[in-house]
Amino acid sequence: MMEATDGEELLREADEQEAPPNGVINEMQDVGQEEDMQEQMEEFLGPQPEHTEEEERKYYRRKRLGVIKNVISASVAAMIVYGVYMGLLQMQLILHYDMTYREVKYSNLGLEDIDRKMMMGINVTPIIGLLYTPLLIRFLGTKWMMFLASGIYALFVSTNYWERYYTLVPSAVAIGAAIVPLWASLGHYMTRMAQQYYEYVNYREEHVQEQKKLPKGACHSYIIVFHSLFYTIFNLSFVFAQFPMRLVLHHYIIDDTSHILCNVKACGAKISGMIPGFNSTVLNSLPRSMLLIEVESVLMGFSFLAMIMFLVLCGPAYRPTEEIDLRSIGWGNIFQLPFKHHRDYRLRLLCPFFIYSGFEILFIVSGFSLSYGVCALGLKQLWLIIMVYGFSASVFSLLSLCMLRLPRWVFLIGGAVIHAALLIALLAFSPVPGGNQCGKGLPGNSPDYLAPILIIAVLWGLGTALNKTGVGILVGMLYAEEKERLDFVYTIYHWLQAVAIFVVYLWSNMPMRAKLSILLVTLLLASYCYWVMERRLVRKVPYRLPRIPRPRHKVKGYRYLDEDNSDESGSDNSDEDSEDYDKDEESEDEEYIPGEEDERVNEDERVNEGDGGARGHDSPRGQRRPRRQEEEREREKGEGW
Amino acid sequence: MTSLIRQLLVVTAVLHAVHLVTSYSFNNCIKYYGNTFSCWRRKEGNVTAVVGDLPPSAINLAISFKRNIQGSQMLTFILFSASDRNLPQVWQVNKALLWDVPYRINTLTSLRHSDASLPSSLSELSSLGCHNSSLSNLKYLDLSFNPISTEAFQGVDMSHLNNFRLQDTNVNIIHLLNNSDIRANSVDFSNTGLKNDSLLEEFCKILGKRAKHITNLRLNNNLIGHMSSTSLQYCPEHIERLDLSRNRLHETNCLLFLNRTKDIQVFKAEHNRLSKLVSCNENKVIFENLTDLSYRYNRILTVSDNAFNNTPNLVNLSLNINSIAWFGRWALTGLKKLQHLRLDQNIMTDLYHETFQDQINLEILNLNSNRISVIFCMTFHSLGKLKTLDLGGNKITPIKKKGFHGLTSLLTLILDDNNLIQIDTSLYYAFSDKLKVLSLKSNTIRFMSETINSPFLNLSQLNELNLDAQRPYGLILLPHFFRGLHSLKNLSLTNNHISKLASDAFAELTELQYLTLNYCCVGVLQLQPGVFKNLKNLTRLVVENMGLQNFSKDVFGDLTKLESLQLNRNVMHSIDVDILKGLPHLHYMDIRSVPLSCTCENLQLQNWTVNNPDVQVVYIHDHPCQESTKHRFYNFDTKVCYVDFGLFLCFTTAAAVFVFTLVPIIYTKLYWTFKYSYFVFRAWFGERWRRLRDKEENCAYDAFISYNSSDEQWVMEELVPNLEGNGSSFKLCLHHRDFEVGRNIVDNIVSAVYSSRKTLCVVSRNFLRSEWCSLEIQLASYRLFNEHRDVLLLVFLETISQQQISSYHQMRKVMLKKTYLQWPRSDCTHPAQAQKLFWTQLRRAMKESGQCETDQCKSGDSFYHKEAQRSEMSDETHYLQP
Repeated sequence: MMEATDGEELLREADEQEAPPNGVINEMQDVGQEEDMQEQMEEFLGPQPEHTEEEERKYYRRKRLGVIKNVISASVAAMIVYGVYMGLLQMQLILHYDMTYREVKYSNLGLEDIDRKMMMGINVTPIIGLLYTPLLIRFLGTKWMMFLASGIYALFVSTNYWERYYTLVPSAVAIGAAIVPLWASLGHYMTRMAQQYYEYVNYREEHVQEQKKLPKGACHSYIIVFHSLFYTIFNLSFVFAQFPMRLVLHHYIIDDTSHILCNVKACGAKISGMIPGFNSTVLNSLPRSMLLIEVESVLMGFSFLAMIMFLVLCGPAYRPTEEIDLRSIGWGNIFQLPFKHHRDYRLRLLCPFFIYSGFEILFIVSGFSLSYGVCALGLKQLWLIIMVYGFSASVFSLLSLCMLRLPRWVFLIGGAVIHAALLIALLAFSPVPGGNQCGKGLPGNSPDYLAPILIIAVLWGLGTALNKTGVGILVGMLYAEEKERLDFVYTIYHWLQAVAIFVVYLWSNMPMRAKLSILLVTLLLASYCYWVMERRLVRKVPYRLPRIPRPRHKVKGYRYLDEDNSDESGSDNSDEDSEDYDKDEESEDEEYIPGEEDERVNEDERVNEGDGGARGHDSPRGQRRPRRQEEEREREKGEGW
Repeated sequence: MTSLIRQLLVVTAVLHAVHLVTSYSFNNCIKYYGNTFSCWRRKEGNVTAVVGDLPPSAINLAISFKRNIQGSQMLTFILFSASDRNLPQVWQVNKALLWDVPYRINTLTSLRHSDASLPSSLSELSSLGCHNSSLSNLKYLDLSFNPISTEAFQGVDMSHLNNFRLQDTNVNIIHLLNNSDIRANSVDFSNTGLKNDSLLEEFCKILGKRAKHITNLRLNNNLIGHMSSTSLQYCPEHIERLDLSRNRLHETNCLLFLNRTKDIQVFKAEHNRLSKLVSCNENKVIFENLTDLSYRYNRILTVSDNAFNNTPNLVNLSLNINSIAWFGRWALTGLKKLQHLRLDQNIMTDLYHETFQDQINLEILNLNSNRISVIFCMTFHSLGKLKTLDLGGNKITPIKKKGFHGLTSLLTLILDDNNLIQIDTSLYYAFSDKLKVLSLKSNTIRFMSETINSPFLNLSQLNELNLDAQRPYGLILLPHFFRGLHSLKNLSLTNNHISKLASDAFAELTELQYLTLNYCCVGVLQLQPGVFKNLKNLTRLVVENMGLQNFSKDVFGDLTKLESLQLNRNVMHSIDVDILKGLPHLHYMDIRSVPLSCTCENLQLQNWTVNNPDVQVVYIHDHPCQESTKHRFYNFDTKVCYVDFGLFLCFTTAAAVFVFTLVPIIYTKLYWTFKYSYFVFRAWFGERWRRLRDKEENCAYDAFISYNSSDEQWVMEELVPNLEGNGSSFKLCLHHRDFEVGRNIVDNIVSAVYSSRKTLCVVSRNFLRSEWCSLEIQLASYRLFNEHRDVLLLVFLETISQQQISSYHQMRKVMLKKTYLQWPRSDCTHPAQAQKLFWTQLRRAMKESGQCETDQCKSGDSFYHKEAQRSEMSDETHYLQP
């Protein structure tokens, strides 16, 4: 741990651009000018030693507002991206489901096959997300990862202008590849913003100024607020996703439910598959292609808007130097660390919850809304069910703010209880199909299911809100102090969620009761594991965290060039040395006792002070010592963040 | 008459109006050439619906219905649609075509149209309730099969009738003749019950009273069993034509019953029960004027010799559709004027040398459907004027040599349905350059190889060739045997199981106008590109049921004169409209039973078939969709189809998103890498360019030697002699020797670096410590960036470890980038050789005007040391940093 902080401090200094050494004519000044500009700006904005306290306070207030702006704009942009994506996907899948549309527009193109491949691309590709997500996030940085992912989603929208195998399938695969990184970055970003906010609030504290580890639990309240805010805004994407359906497609869908649901024999818990017997023609008349192009253009516009929001409004999560440090622990390590983090029992015990949260989100938008909602009410009510669900999830996400007062288990367990109750209810609930059995049944003999189904949607939305927000906050809180690990743990979280979504994709033909049972079992297991975890934390069972290696600036960064001693990086020999050293370091995990991190930090500090002797074998350290002193000298001068 | 299964009704309406001719597709009718429309077997039960979309210019119209239709409706249509259309109310309902319609018109009381004839089955018309004068203008009256009685004609003025028919009525024809003013010449006495001699005699008496000269006496259907020589004795003497068809005559007795009317010209006894034509040798009654004699549809088994001796001037003789088995060798003797002889549909087996020997004027000989199996030598030797010879439907296998000898004028030769195995070239020599029509349909011709000499080489005038339906397996292969058929206009190859059509199969047939290939081939056929390319005159092409999967430009694009194209029953799913638009004369296209798919692929085709003004696409409105029964081809929903705009938008927005995503990321993440690469590229490019421009630069010195004074000894003792003397003539710039006196030392260094092609740094520990040397390196490396020239050469005098060198980072940077030369120290294995190699390497490096050396010495004492190419991008970025 110490190495990491240490390296970080080293970086700080490099930010200050020093004059070129000893009279060398620096003709390369123009090349580095822009960097300089940035630095100058930074310096100009940064609190100067001679600035008054008032100015300093204003400066940090501005910073705090910036953080809030980041959170809101990232949430809104993510909401737009998902609203556009889900809305488009829903519209296209319904259109493509219609046989007449398919045959007229695509004839022998095999659109069904394309759609199947597309869904496969979206659902299967995330499985390998664990392999590259941390690499991608560390290489690009959190903000740029989100921006890239929004670009990929926009690409998907643009390929829908021209639906062919060679456009849709690659873009679907790209989306599948972008899902895990996007979500890991979003969770990471929100938690990181909470940390930043804390830093800007407590800018006077010594540990902030020295960029030490934050004290235990210091930024938890910000994590709760930011995550609640994020999910409140994000869940609105379900609402906005229904706009294309409601405003455009609605007019083309056959009104008569008894026709669409003519061959549907049963609904709900009784059936297997989505809606067996659903009519293959759902459209009254085919929409003009120009109309579809217009809809897609509007969606395209929103996608661009989201991209611009990510690009312009979202500030970076880390300073450039921090980012370089995060990246400098070696790509091999970055690749391994997500796997190594499974050694932490807290994360291990949360895995069922991660999986469940993937299950439930896809179950409500596909399984429930189709097998219960559409089956009983007809396709024309689909938008209402999902909209109500999204709206309730959005509103109830604000409930998580109560976590500021109440213990966190209340929310996770509360969400689980609600979902468990609903699952049991759904196991018994088999609505009569809305159709009249092709004239065999009496028309209108099916009861009006609109109210019960909407109530279930609302309650499920409440459960989703508690679950999603709760898990997000919990992960953030468990790793609140360790920004080096945030992307790993969020990658694990969202990767498992993606795996769960893949499983839901696979089971789409299973009987509904089996699906519900799997959901219920997973939920119970998740709750139990969570309970075990909380118990262990209370009992202060130590958990293992893989050691994050010290940043190795193998890349001979500019910071070292002007130094007379460009430390350990240089010759191949010394590189190898440090490699060996890192291997030593990796092999050992650190054991942490919950609730005692602060002490440990102090201990670290102590070791840090009494350097040298303890790390005698660490030759590069010796070289760095003078720098550290120099740095401390500077800090005394009052320069800091 | 009143069959309920299927009733056909054919009406030919002649409209006296010619409008602008436009041709397009009709719902229920097909337009043929001219303004003829046929509307066969349509489902519509309503006449107006059937003909509703026909143009007013329609002249001939044939309609048939699947279901029974009210005749009154038809008649109403006929009578009133004329006025609807403002057409002249002159209608002629062609009686010949009104053959079995169940007309049930009860209310027809008057016939107003002057030229109208009632249909043949006004079966319940029992009285003519009209004014006496109402028929005064009538020219043609047919009241057959009506239970009308003689009294109905009481006082009716029928003097103007030209044609009056009274089959099977209650009219007593003898009374009628007695009592009315009708002209006897204009009455058809068929089926009027004149069945025996006494009635005939009575009838003849009255007839003789009424007229002396009868042109046409029709006594059909009168059940006459026997004509004695006295039967017609009271009839008028001059009868031009006598028709005794459909009676029960058993014999003709050499026409003895006509002994009073010897100037008869035409005699018909069709549909009787004649069984034998006896020899008329001893008959003294000679009919000099008889030219036409017809015994069709009888049961004649034997024709004796000299059977026609009493009619020596016959021109037309019809003996067809009998069962003649014995045809006397001399039966036709003496009929020198015979022009037209029909012997078809008999069971004759042999033709003899003598059979046709007197028929020197014969023009048409029809021997169709007999049992002739061999054509013997000289059978037709005297038929020098024969134009048409029909031998179809026989069993001819061999044609003996000279079998067709003497047929010098033959134009048409029909050999259908025989057992010919091959097309014998030698057969046609007699008429080979005159023959116009040759039909070889349904023989057993079959080709097993494609290389066959053309049997048609001499038939240069042949217009029409028919090779349809060879038995039992078709032609199978189509050899290149159309050579020589330069005039061929009509070729038919249907039903031949041809497995492959070579791309030059029709190459010689440049005059071809009609080509019929339907059912010609086996399975799914891929027409070779260019198979029709020489058929520039083709106007009608029938390629029905050939399994064509696509309609390609290579095949059909060349048929610029094509007017009619029948593509039915092929398996193409779409047709390219551009090809159809490239056929400017196309008027008629039949694509029935082509499984065109109702998809956006055929959007253009739908548009074209429905909207084009020139081409009639047959029944396009009935063309079904393959996929759904809801729509038809002409109206499937096309508004969902792609607009090209979508493709454009897809790729532009995708490109925009791509650029918009990547540019900011690249800008932030890889800016310096790109900038550095750019500079390196410029350096490299500038170097190349300069090297091209001037081989030798204007430099005062070849190299500026930068060294520390402590190494002066090595420079003076080793370097200068080796480079300036010793065979090589480099001009070196040495500071103690060449620096300008009195000038600032920095200026001197700058000018030295700039006026030398290379800057050679002699690196030692002392050198690294020297500030001036550092400056010199700086300047030299600066030239790389500012002028894009690489001038620095490094020579290491001592082995300096990385550790040591790392304190001089400027040096290290250069070392990381560049290869350098290591001075071999005395402790290496072969110092002398090593030094020699060193100098060679150095000279070479100095001669080169640019990039660093890339050679690597792999010998054990590698003094020419090359640092591993550490050119990772990240490595190089720092090179630019200030």
